[in-house]
Amino acid sequence: MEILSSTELLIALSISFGIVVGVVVFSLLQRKGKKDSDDMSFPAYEYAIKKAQHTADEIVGEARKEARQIVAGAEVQSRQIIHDNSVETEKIRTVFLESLRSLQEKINTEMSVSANETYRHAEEMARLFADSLEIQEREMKEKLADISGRLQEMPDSLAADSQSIASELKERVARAGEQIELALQGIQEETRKQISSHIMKKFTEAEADIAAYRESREKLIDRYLETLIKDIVRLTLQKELTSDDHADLVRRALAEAKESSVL
Amino acid sequence: MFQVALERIKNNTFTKQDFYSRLGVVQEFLEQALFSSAINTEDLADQCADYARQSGRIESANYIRDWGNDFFNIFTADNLYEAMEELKQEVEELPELVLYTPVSLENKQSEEIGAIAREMFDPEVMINLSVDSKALGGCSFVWQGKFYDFSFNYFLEKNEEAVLELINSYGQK
Repeated sequence: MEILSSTELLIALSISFGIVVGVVVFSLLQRKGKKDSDDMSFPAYEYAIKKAQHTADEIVGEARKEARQIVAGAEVQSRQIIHDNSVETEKIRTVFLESLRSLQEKINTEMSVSANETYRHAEEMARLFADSLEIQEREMKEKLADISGRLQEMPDSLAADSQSIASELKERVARAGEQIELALQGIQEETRKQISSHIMKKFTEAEADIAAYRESREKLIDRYLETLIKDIVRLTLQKELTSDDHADLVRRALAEAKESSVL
Repeated sequence: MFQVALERIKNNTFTKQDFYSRLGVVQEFLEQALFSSAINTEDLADQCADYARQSGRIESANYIRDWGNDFFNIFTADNLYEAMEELKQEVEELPELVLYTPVSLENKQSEEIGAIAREMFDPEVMINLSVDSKALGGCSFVWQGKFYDFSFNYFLEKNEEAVLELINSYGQK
Protein backbone atom coordinates (compact mmCIF):
# COMPACT_ATOMS: atom_id res chain seq x y z
CA MET A 1 0.00 0.00 0.00
CA GLU A 2 2.83 2.23 0.78
CA ILE A 3 3.90 1.68 -2.77
CA LEU A 4 1.02 3.90 -3.94
CA SER A 5 2.31 7.40 -4.26
CA SER A 6 0.30 10.51 -3.79
CA THR A 7 0.31 10.99 -7.55
CA GLU A 8 -1.27 7.65 -8.01
CA LEU A 9 -3.82 8.58 -5.39
CA LEU A 10 -4.47 11.83 -7.13
CA ILE A 11 -4.92 10.02 -10.41
CA ALA A 12 -7.30 7.57 -8.78
CA LEU A 13 -9.27 10.37 -7.21
CA SER A 14 -9.37 12.20 -10.56
CA ILE A 15 -10.56 9.08 -12.27
CA SER A 16 -13.24 8.58 -9.62
CA PHE A 17 -14.33 12.17 -9.94
CA GLY A 18 -14.36 11.82 -13.65
CA ILE A 19 -16.52 8.76 -13.40
CA VAL A 20 -18.94 10.54 -11.07
CA VAL A 21 -19.11 13.56 -13.38
CA GLY A 22 -19.59 11.21 -16.31
CA VAL A 23 -22.43 9.42 -14.57
CA VAL A 24 -24.11 12.73 -13.71
CA VAL A 25 -23.71 14.01 -17.31
CA PHE A 26 -24.99 10.76 -18.67
CA SER A 27 -28.00 10.81 -16.44
CA LEU A 28 -28.77 14.43 -17.46
CA LEU A 29 -28.39 13.57 -21.12
CA GLN A 30 -30.65 10.58 -20.66
CA ARG A 31 -33.35 12.70 -19.06
CA LYS A 32 -33.20 15.26 -21.86
CA GLY A 33 -33.27 12.47 -24.44
CA LYS A 34 -36.41 11.07 -22.84
CA LYS A 35 -38.20 14.44 -23.06
CA ASP A 36 -37.31 14.81 -26.75
CA SER A 37 -38.47 11.28 -27.32
CA ASP A 38 -41.84 12.11 -25.67
CA ASP A 39 -42.15 15.13 -27.91
CA MET A 40 -41.36 13.05 -30.94
CA SER A 41 -43.94 10.38 -30.03
CA PHE A 42 -47.03 12.90 -30.29
CA PRO A 43 -49.27 11.43 -33.08
CA ALA A 44 -48.79 13.04 -36.47
CA TYR A 45 -52.47 13.26 -37.36
CA GLU A 46 -53.34 15.13 -34.21
CA TYR A 47 -50.72 17.57 -35.15
CA ALA A 48 -52.09 17.83 -38.65
CA ILE A 49 -55.64 18.36 -37.33
CA LYS A 50 -54.49 21.02 -34.98
CA LYS A 51 -52.65 22.69 -37.75
CA ALA A 52 -55.64 22.48 -40.07
CA GLN A 53 -57.90 23.79 -37.32
CA HIS A 54 -55.57 26.63 -36.84
CA THR A 55 -55.48 27.35 -40.58
CA ALA A 56 -59.25 27.10 -40.78
CA ASP A 57 -59.68 29.48 -37.87
CA GLU A 58 -57.38 31.87 -39.57
CA ILE A 59 -59.33 31.60 -42.87
CA VAL A 60 -62.68 32.06 -41.10
CA GLY A 61 -61.36 35.01 -39.24
CA GLU A 62 -60.06 36.46 -42.48
CA ALA A 63 -63.40 35.80 -44.21
CA ARG A 64 -65.34 37.45 -41.41
CA LYS A 65 -63.10 40.38 -41.59
CA GLU A 66 -63.60 40.66 -45.37
CA ALA A 67 -67.36 40.18 -45.07
CA ARG A 68 -67.51 42.96 -42.48
CA GLN A 69 -65.56 45.12 -44.84
CA ILE A 70 -67.88 44.30 -47.78
CA VAL A 71 -71.02 44.96 -45.71
CA ALA A 72 -69.60 48.18 -44.44
CA GLY A 73 -68.64 49.16 -47.99
CA ALA A 74 -72.12 48.31 -49.33
CA GLU A 75 -73.74 50.28 -46.56
CA VAL A 76 -71.60 53.27 -47.32
CA GLN A 77 -72.30 52.88 -51.03
CA SER A 78 -76.07 52.57 -50.55
CA ARG A 79 -76.06 55.62 -48.34
CA GLN A 80 -74.16 57.41 -51.04
CA ILE A 81 -76.65 56.27 -53.73
CA ILE A 82 -79.63 57.35 -51.63
CA HIS A 83 -77.98 60.62 -50.99
CA ASP A 84 -77.18 61.03 -54.67
CA ASN A 85 -80.80 60.17 -55.62
CA SER A 86 -82.17 62.62 -53.10
CA VAL A 87 -79.89 65.29 -54.48
CA GLU A 88 -80.91 64.43 -58.03
CA THR A 89 -84.61 64.43 -57.12
CA GLU A 90 -84.26 67.71 -55.35
CA LYS A 91 -82.46 69.08 -58.36
CA ILE A 92 -85.25 67.92 -60.71
CA ARG A 93 -87.86 69.28 -58.35
CA THR A 94 -86.10 72.62 -58.24
CA VAL A 95 -85.85 72.72 -62.03
CA PHE A 96 -89.51 71.76 -62.39
CA LEU A 97 -90.63 74.38 -59.86
CA GLU A 98 -88.46 76.92 -61.56
CA SER A 99 -90.00 76.04 -64.96
CA LEU A 100 -93.48 76.17 -63.46
CA ARG A 101 -92.81 79.49 -61.84
CA SER A 102 -91.41 80.81 -65.08
CA LEU A 103 -94.41 79.55 -67.04
CA GLN A 104 -96.79 81.05 -64.48
CA GLU A 105 -95.04 84.40 -64.73
CA LYS A 106 -95.13 84.22 -68.50
CA ILE A 107 -98.85 83.45 -68.45
CA ASN A 108 -99.47 86.24 -65.95
CA THR A 109 -97.53 88.64 -68.11
CA GLU A 110 -99.36 87.55 -71.26
CA MET A 111 -102.70 87.79 -69.52
CA SER A 112 -101.86 91.17 -68.13
CA VAL A 113 -100.82 92.41 -71.56
CA SER A 114 -103.90 90.92 -73.13
CA ALA A 115 -106.15 92.39 -70.42
CA ASN A 116 -104.57 95.80 -70.85
CA GLU A 117 -105.03 95.55 -74.59
CA THR A 118 -108.66 94.49 -74.19
CA TYR A 119 -109.29 97.22 -71.68
CA ARG A 120 -107.76 99.75 -74.01
CA HIS A 121 -109.93 98.53 -76.87
CA ALA A 122 -113.00 98.62 -74.68
CA GLU A 123 -112.19 102.16 -73.63
CA GLU A 124 -111.70 103.13 -77.22
CA MET A 125 -115.02 101.54 -78.20
CA ALA A 126 -116.83 103.21 -75.31
CA ARG A 127 -115.37 106.52 -76.28
CA LEU A 128 -116.37 106.08 -79.93
CA PHE A 129 -119.87 104.98 -78.92
CA ALA A 130 -120.26 107.96 -76.62
CA ASP A 131 -119.13 110.29 -79.41
CA SER A 132 -121.56 108.68 -81.82
CA LEU A 133 -124.41 109.02 -79.33
CA GLU A 134 -123.56 112.61 -78.74
CA ILE A 135 -123.55 113.30 -82.49
CA GLN A 136 -126.87 111.50 -82.98
CA GLU A 137 -128.46 113.28 -80.05
CA ARG A 138 -127.32 116.56 -81.43
CA GLU A 139 -128.68 115.71 -84.89
CA MET A 140 -131.99 114.56 -83.43
CA LYS A 141 -132.34 117.71 -81.42
CA GLU A 142 -131.67 119.71 -84.53
CA LYS A 143 -134.25 117.69 -86.52
CA LEU A 144 -136.86 117.96 -83.76
CA ALA A 145 -136.31 121.66 -83.58
CA ASP A 146 -136.75 121.80 -87.32
CA ILE A 147 -139.93 119.72 -87.26
CA SER A 148 -141.31 121.76 -84.39
CA GLY A 149 -140.69 124.88 -86.31
CA ARG A 150 -142.33 123.45 -89.43
CA LEU A 151 -145.34 122.27 -87.46
CA GLN A 152 -145.81 125.64 -86.01
CA GLU A 153 -145.75 126.99 -89.52
CA MET A 154 -148.32 124.30 -90.79
CA PRO A 155 -151.83 125.60 -91.69
CA ASP A 156 -155.04 124.27 -90.07
CA SER A 157 -156.16 122.43 -93.29
CA LEU A 158 -153.23 120.15 -93.03
CA ALA A 159 -154.22 119.30 -89.51
CA ALA A 160 -157.68 118.35 -90.72
CA ASP A 161 -156.22 116.21 -93.47
CA SER A 162 -154.02 114.41 -91.08
CA GLN A 163 -157.05 113.72 -88.86
CA SER A 164 -158.98 112.19 -91.80
CA ILE A 165 -155.94 110.13 -92.75
CA ALA A 166 -155.75 108.92 -89.19
CA SER A 167 -159.41 107.88 -89.13
CA GLU A 168 -159.05 106.14 -92.48
CA LEU A 169 -156.06 104.30 -91.22
CA LYS A 170 -158.04 103.24 -88.18
CA GLU A 171 -160.80 101.87 -90.36
CA ARG A 172 -158.36 100.02 -92.53
CA VAL A 173 -156.75 98.51 -89.50
CA ALA A 174 -160.17 97.46 -88.21
CA ARG A 175 -161.02 95.82 -91.55
CA ALA A 176 -157.70 94.07 -91.71
CA GLY A 177 -158.30 92.81 -88.17
CA GLU A 178 -161.68 91.41 -89.20
CA GLN A 179 -160.19 89.77 -92.26
CA ILE A 180 -157.41 88.27 -90.17
CA GLU A 181 -159.97 87.01 -87.67
CA LEU A 182 -162.00 85.42 -90.47
CA ALA A 183 -158.88 83.86 -91.97
CA LEU A 184 -157.91 82.52 -88.58
CA GLN A 185 -161.37 81.04 -88.11
CA GLY A 186 -161.06 79.41 -91.52
CA ILE A 187 -157.69 78.01 -90.64
CA GLN A 188 -159.04 76.71 -87.34
CA GLU A 189 -161.92 75.05 -89.11
CA GLU A 190 -159.62 73.53 -91.70
CA THR A 191 -157.24 72.31 -89.01
CA ARG A 192 -160.10 70.81 -87.06
CA LYS A 193 -161.27 69.01 -90.19
CA GLN A 194 -157.78 67.76 -90.91
CA ILE A 195 -157.31 66.51 -87.36
CA SER A 196 -160.68 64.84 -87.40
CA SER A 197 -159.88 63.20 -90.74
CA HIS A 198 -156.48 62.08 -89.49
CA ILE A 199 -157.99 60.60 -86.34
CA MET A 200 -160.63 58.81 -88.39
CA LYS A 201 -157.98 57.44 -90.71
CA LYS A 202 -155.86 56.22 -87.84
CA PHE A 203 -158.91 54.76 -86.14
CA THR A 204 -159.85 52.88 -89.32
CA GLU A 205 -156.28 51.60 -89.65
CA ALA A 206 -156.27 50.51 -86.02
CA GLU A 207 -159.59 48.75 -86.52
CA ALA A 208 -158.21 46.95 -89.57
CA ASP A 209 -155.07 46.00 -87.62
CA ILE A 210 -157.15 44.71 -84.73
CA ALA A 211 -159.34 42.73 -87.11
CA ALA A 212 -156.27 41.23 -88.83
CA TYR A 213 -154.70 40.43 -85.47
CA ARG A 214 -157.92 38.87 -84.24
CA GLU A 215 -158.23 36.81 -87.38
CA SER A 216 -154.64 35.58 -87.13
CA ARG A 217 -155.11 34.75 -83.45
CA GLU A 218 -158.35 32.94 -84.20
CA LYS A 219 -156.62 30.96 -86.92
CA LEU A 220 -153.84 30.16 -84.52
CA ILE A 221 -156.32 29.01 -81.91
CA ASP A 222 -158.17 26.99 -84.55
CA ARG A 223 -154.88 25.30 -85.56
CA TYR A 224 -154.11 24.65 -81.94
CA LEU A 225 -157.54 23.18 -81.35
CA GLU A 226 -157.20 21.08 -84.48
CA THR A 227 -153.89 19.72 -83.26
CA LEU A 228 -155.39 19.11 -79.86
CA ILE A 229 -158.34 17.26 -81.34
CA LYS A 230 -156.03 15.25 -83.57
CA ASP A 231 -153.91 14.25 -80.62
CA ILE A 232 -156.93 13.36 -78.52
CA VAL A 233 -158.53 11.34 -81.31
CA ARG A 234 -155.25 9.66 -82.20
CA LEU A 235 -154.70 8.69 -78.60
CA THR A 236 -158.26 7.42 -78.29
CA LEU A 237 -158.13 5.52 -81.57
CA GLN A 238 -154.82 3.92 -80.70
CA LYS A 239 -155.98 2.82 -77.31
CA GLU A 240 -159.60 1.95 -77.88
CA LEU A 241 -159.97 0.50 -81.39
CA THR A 242 -159.69 -3.20 -82.08
CA SER A 243 -157.97 -4.69 -85.09
CA ASP A 244 -161.36 -5.15 -86.77
CA ASP A 245 -162.21 -1.50 -86.15
CA HIS A 246 -158.96 -0.44 -87.80
CA ALA A 247 -159.62 -2.76 -90.75
CA ASP A 248 -163.08 -1.28 -91.06
CA LEU A 249 -161.62 2.25 -91.07
CA VAL A 250 -159.16 1.19 -93.79
CA ARG A 251 -162.06 -0.10 -95.88
CA ARG A 252 -163.96 3.14 -95.34
CA ALA A 253 -160.89 5.16 -96.24
CA LEU A 254 -160.52 3.21 -99.49
CA ALA A 255 -164.21 3.75 -100.23
CA GLU A 256 -163.71 7.45 -99.57
CA ALA A 257 -160.73 7.46 -101.91
CA LYS A 258 -162.89 5.88 -104.59
CA GLU A 259 -165.71 8.37 -104.05
CA SER A 260 -163.47 11.40 -103.91
CA SER A 261 -162.31 10.64 -107.46
CA VAL A 262 -158.77 11.72 -106.71
CA LEU A 263 -157.40 8.57 -108.26
CA MET B 1 -144.79 -20.85 -118.13
CA PHE B 2 -145.96 -20.83 -114.57
CA GLN B 3 -148.99 -18.61 -115.18
CA VAL B 4 -151.35 -21.26 -113.87
CA ALA B 5 -149.48 -21.43 -110.60
CA LEU B 6 -149.41 -17.66 -110.34
CA GLU B 7 -153.13 -17.39 -110.99
CA ARG B 8 -153.79 -19.97 -108.32
CA ILE B 9 -151.70 -18.02 -105.83
CA LYS B 10 -153.31 -14.69 -106.75
CA ASN B 11 -156.77 -16.11 -106.14
CA ASN B 12 -156.36 -16.06 -102.40
CA THR B 13 -153.19 -14.03 -101.87
CA PHE B 14 -153.50 -10.26 -101.92
CA THR B 15 -150.36 -9.00 -100.28
CA LYS B 16 -146.72 -9.43 -101.23
CA GLN B 17 -145.91 -10.35 -97.65
CA ASP B 18 -148.32 -13.27 -97.77
CA PHE B 19 -147.09 -14.25 -101.20
CA TYR B 20 -143.45 -14.53 -100.12
CA SER B 21 -144.34 -16.23 -96.85
CA ARG B 22 -146.54 -18.88 -98.50
CA LEU B 23 -144.20 -19.44 -101.39
CA GLY B 24 -141.38 -19.92 -98.87
CA VAL B 25 -143.35 -22.69 -97.14
CA VAL B 26 -144.07 -24.33 -100.50
CA GLN B 27 -140.41 -24.22 -101.54
CA GLU B 28 -139.23 -25.73 -98.23
CA PHE B 29 -141.86 -28.44 -98.50
CA LEU B 30 -141.12 -29.23 -102.14
CA GLU B 31 -137.38 -29.43 -101.48
CA GLN B 32 -138.12 -32.24 -99.08
CA ALA B 33 -140.73 -33.84 -101.32
CA LEU B 34 -138.73 -33.72 -104.53
CA PHE B 35 -135.21 -34.29 -103.25
CA SER B 36 -135.78 -36.93 -100.64
CA SER B 37 -137.92 -40.02 -100.40
CA ALA B 38 -139.31 -39.03 -96.99
CA ILE B 39 -142.49 -37.60 -98.51
CA ASN B 40 -144.69 -39.37 -101.02
CA THR B 41 -145.87 -37.33 -103.97
CA GLU B 42 -149.55 -37.94 -103.37
CA ASP B 43 -151.84 -35.25 -101.85
CA LEU B 44 -149.06 -32.72 -101.79
CA ALA B 45 -151.45 -29.85 -101.00
CA ASP B 46 -152.60 -31.48 -97.78
CA GLN B 47 -149.10 -32.52 -96.88
CA CYS B 48 -147.80 -29.02 -97.47
CA ALA B 49 -150.58 -27.59 -95.31
CA ASP B 50 -149.60 -30.04 -92.57
CA TYR B 51 -145.96 -29.02 -92.99
CA ALA B 52 -146.94 -25.37 -92.60
CA ARG B 53 -148.86 -26.11 -89.41
CA GLN B 54 -146.02 -28.19 -88.02
CA SER B 55 -143.45 -25.54 -88.80
CA GLY B 56 -145.52 -22.89 -86.97
CA ARG B 57 -146.94 -21.09 -90.01
CA ILE B 58 -150.51 -22.04 -89.30
CA GLU B 59 -151.99 -18.94 -90.96
CA SER B 60 -150.57 -20.04 -94.34
CA ALA B 61 -151.77 -23.66 -94.16
CA ASN B 62 -155.36 -23.31 -95.37
CA TYR B 63 -154.46 -20.92 -98.17
CA ILE B 64 -151.76 -23.28 -99.47
CA ARG B 65 -154.12 -26.28 -99.33
CA ASP B 66 -156.62 -24.33 -101.43
CA TRP B 67 -154.04 -24.11 -104.22
CA GLY B 68 -154.72 -27.84 -104.85
CA ASN B 69 -152.61 -30.83 -105.85
CA ASP B 70 -152.40 -29.79 -109.50
CA PHE B 71 -150.60 -26.64 -108.35
CA PHE B 72 -147.93 -28.75 -106.68
CA ASN B 73 -147.66 -31.10 -109.64
CA ILE B 74 -146.33 -28.24 -111.79
CA PHE B 75 -143.07 -28.36 -109.88
CA THR B 76 -140.36 -30.96 -110.47
CA ALA B 77 -136.87 -31.39 -109.10
CA ASP B 78 -135.58 -29.86 -112.33
CA ASN B 79 -137.71 -26.72 -112.44
CA LEU B 80 -138.31 -25.96 -108.76
CA TYR B 81 -135.83 -23.11 -108.32
CA GLU B 82 -136.43 -21.75 -111.79
CA ALA B 83 -140.18 -21.77 -111.09
CA MET B 84 -139.78 -20.03 -107.75
CA GLU B 85 -137.66 -17.30 -109.28
CA GLU B 86 -140.06 -16.85 -112.13
CA LEU B 87 -143.05 -16.61 -109.80
CA LYS B 88 -141.31 -13.98 -107.70
CA GLN B 89 -140.40 -12.06 -110.80
CA GLU B 90 -143.98 -12.24 -112.09
CA VAL B 91 -145.35 -10.95 -108.81
CA GLU B 92 -142.89 -8.06 -108.81
CA GLU B 93 -144.15 -7.08 -112.22
CA LEU B 94 -147.78 -6.93 -111.11
CA PRO B 95 -149.29 -3.50 -110.28
CA GLU B 96 -148.39 -2.62 -106.72
CA LEU B 97 -150.39 -0.74 -104.13
CA VAL B 98 -148.30 0.35 -101.14
CA LEU B 99 -150.82 0.48 -98.34
CA TYR B 100 -150.05 2.07 -94.96
CA THR B 101 -152.29 0.94 -92.12
CA PRO B 102 -152.08 1.97 -88.46
CA VAL B 103 -151.86 -1.65 -87.26
CA SER B 104 -150.89 -4.90 -88.92
CA LEU B 105 -153.85 -6.67 -90.47
CA GLU B 106 -154.89 -10.25 -89.98
CA ASN B 107 -155.17 -12.60 -92.97
CA LYS B 108 -158.93 -12.29 -93.23
CA GLN B 109 -158.81 -8.52 -93.06
CA SER B 110 -156.06 -8.23 -95.64
CA GLU B 111 -157.99 -10.61 -97.84
CA GLU B 112 -161.08 -8.37 -97.68
CA ILE B 113 -159.11 -5.22 -98.23
CA GLY B 114 -157.19 -6.88 -101.05
CA ALA B 115 -160.45 -7.75 -102.77
CA ILE B 116 -161.59 -4.13 -102.48
CA ALA B 117 -158.26 -2.94 -103.84
CA ARG B 118 -158.49 -5.25 -106.86
CA GLU B 119 -161.96 -3.99 -107.54
CA MET B 120 -160.97 -0.40 -107.05
CA PHE B 121 -157.47 -0.10 -108.51
CA ASP B 122 -156.65 -3.05 -110.71
CA PRO B 123 -157.77 -6.70 -110.85
CA GLU B 124 -154.11 -7.75 -110.83
CA VAL B 125 -152.98 -5.52 -107.98
CA MET B 126 -150.77 -6.85 -105.19
CA ILE B 127 -150.67 -4.95 -101.94
CA ASN B 128 -147.41 -4.11 -100.26
CA LEU B 129 -148.49 -3.64 -96.65
CA SER B 130 -146.72 -1.34 -94.21
CA VAL B 131 -147.62 -0.27 -90.71
CA ASP B 132 -147.59 3.49 -90.12
CA SER B 133 -149.12 5.05 -87.02
CA LYS B 134 -149.71 8.29 -88.94
CA ALA B 135 -152.33 6.47 -91.00
CA LEU B 136 -154.55 6.24 -87.93
CA GLY B 137 -158.28 6.56 -88.48
CA GLY B 138 -158.09 5.22 -92.06
CA CYS B 139 -155.13 4.52 -94.25
CA SER B 140 -152.75 6.09 -96.70
CA PHE B 141 -151.35 4.59 -99.85
CA VAL B 142 -149.07 5.04 -102.81
CA TRP B 143 -150.58 4.27 -106.17
CA GLN B 144 -148.67 4.70 -109.40
CA GLY B 145 -145.98 6.75 -107.64
CA LYS B 146 -148.39 9.17 -105.93
CA PHE B 147 -149.09 9.39 -102.22
CA TYR B 148 -152.67 9.63 -100.97
CA ASP B 149 -153.58 10.33 -97.37
CA PHE B 150 -156.97 9.09 -96.23
CA SER B 151 -156.15 8.95 -92.57
CA PHE B 152 -157.89 10.82 -89.77
CA ASN B 153 -156.10 13.98 -90.87
CA TYR B 154 -157.86 13.84 -94.20
CA PHE B 155 -161.27 13.43 -92.60
CA LEU B 156 -160.60 16.22 -90.15
CA GLU B 157 -159.53 18.58 -92.90
CA LYS B 158 -162.53 17.57 -94.95
CA ASN B 159 -164.84 18.44 -92.06
CA GLU B 160 -162.76 21.33 -90.78
CA GLU B 161 -165.49 23.93 -91.02
CA ALA B 162 -168.00 21.76 -89.24
CA VAL B 163 -165.49 20.96 -86.53
CA LEU B 164 -164.56 24.61 -86.06
CA GLU B 165 -168.21 25.56 -85.98
CA LEU B 166 -168.76 22.94 -83.33
CA ILE B 167 -165.82 24.30 -81.34
CA ASN B 168 -167.05 27.88 -81.67
CA SER B 169 -170.60 26.97 -80.70
CA TYR B 170 -169.19 25.12 -77.73
CA GLY B 171 -167.14 28.17 -76.79
CA GLN B 172 -170.23 30.40 -76.91
CA LYS B 173 -172.20 28.23 -74.53
